[in-house]
Amino acid sequence: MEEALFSFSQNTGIYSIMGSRWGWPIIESLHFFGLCLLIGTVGLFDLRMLGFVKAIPISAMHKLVPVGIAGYLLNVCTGIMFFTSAPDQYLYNPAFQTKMMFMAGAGINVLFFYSVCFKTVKNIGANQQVNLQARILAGLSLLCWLGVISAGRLITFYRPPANWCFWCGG
Amino acid sequence: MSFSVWVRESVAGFPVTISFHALGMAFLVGIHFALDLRVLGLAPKLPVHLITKFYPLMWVSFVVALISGLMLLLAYPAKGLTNFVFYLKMILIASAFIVGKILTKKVVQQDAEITTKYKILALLSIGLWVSIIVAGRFLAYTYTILLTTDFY
Repeated sequence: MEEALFSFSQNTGIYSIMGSRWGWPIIESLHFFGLCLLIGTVGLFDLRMLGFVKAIPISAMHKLVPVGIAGYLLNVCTGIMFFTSAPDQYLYNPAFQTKMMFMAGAGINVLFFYSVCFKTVKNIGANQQVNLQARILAGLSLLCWLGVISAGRLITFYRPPANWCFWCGG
Repeated sequence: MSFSVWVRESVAGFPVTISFHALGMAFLVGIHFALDLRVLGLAPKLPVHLITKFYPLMWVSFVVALISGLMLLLAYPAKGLTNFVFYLKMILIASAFIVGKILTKKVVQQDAEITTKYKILALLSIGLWVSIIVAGRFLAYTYTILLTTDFY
C-alpha cells in the first residue's frame, strides 16, 4: 500500500515538486486557498439553510456552490500530493484518520442532500425557511467541514511514530 | 507555567490554538471571497448588500484569528518578530481590509454599478488574501531564530 502510493508520487513527478525547496509550503498554501473557497461558498450556503441571512433566496445562494466544488477538487489534488509523497506519515496518523472520517461524513451528507432534499430546497425564496431535514443536513455539513479543517491542521502534531491515541495500539 | 510556555509546550496549547487560527481564517477569507466572487459576476441574482449580512461572522472570525495569532506569536515571539515575512503578512492584512472596505462602501453602501474598476478591486482582494495565506504558511519555513533562549 505505502509502496504503491509512494511510487505513484515518484512516477508522476509529484515527489520532485514536493521535495523542491518551496514545493511543500506552496502546495499547502493552495490547500488553504481551496478550503477558504469551500467555506466561503458551501459554508455560507449551509449557514443560509440554517437560518442566517434568510433574505437571500436559496437558488441565488446556490450559484456560489460550483466555486466551492472547484476548491474541493483543488484540495483533493493537493491532498493527494501530500499523502502520496509521505504515505507512512498519513496512513498511521490518528489526526489524518479522523479527517478522513469527517470527509466521508461530508461526502455521504452531500450525496444525501442532493438526492433527497435539494429538489424542494432549491425553490425556497427570500425570507423563507428550509425544512427541518435540510437544516439538519446543513448543520452536519458545516460540522463535518469544520472537523476536516481542525483534524487536518492537527495532522502535523500526530506524525508517527509519535502517534498516540486510544485506537492506535502498541 | 507562564501563558507563553503553556501555548508552546503543553499537549493541547499549540495544536488547539493553530486549529482555531485555521478555522478563523476559513470564514474570514471565505466571506471576503464570497463578496469578491459576487462582484466578479458569480451568482448575479444574489443581492450584493446581503453578502455583507455575513460581516458580523467575518468579524468574529477575524477576532478568533487575531487572538489565536497573538497566542502563536506569544509562544514563539522571536520566531515571528525576526522574520520579515511576518511584517509583510501584517501589511498585506491591512491592505486586504482596506480594499474590502472600499469595495463594500462603493458597491454596497453607495450601490454603485459594478464596473471593471470594481472587478479589478475584487481580483486584488482575492490576490491579497491568497498572499496572506502564502505568507502565513511560509512563516513556518522561513524563520531564522526559533527562540532567543537558544542563545543562552
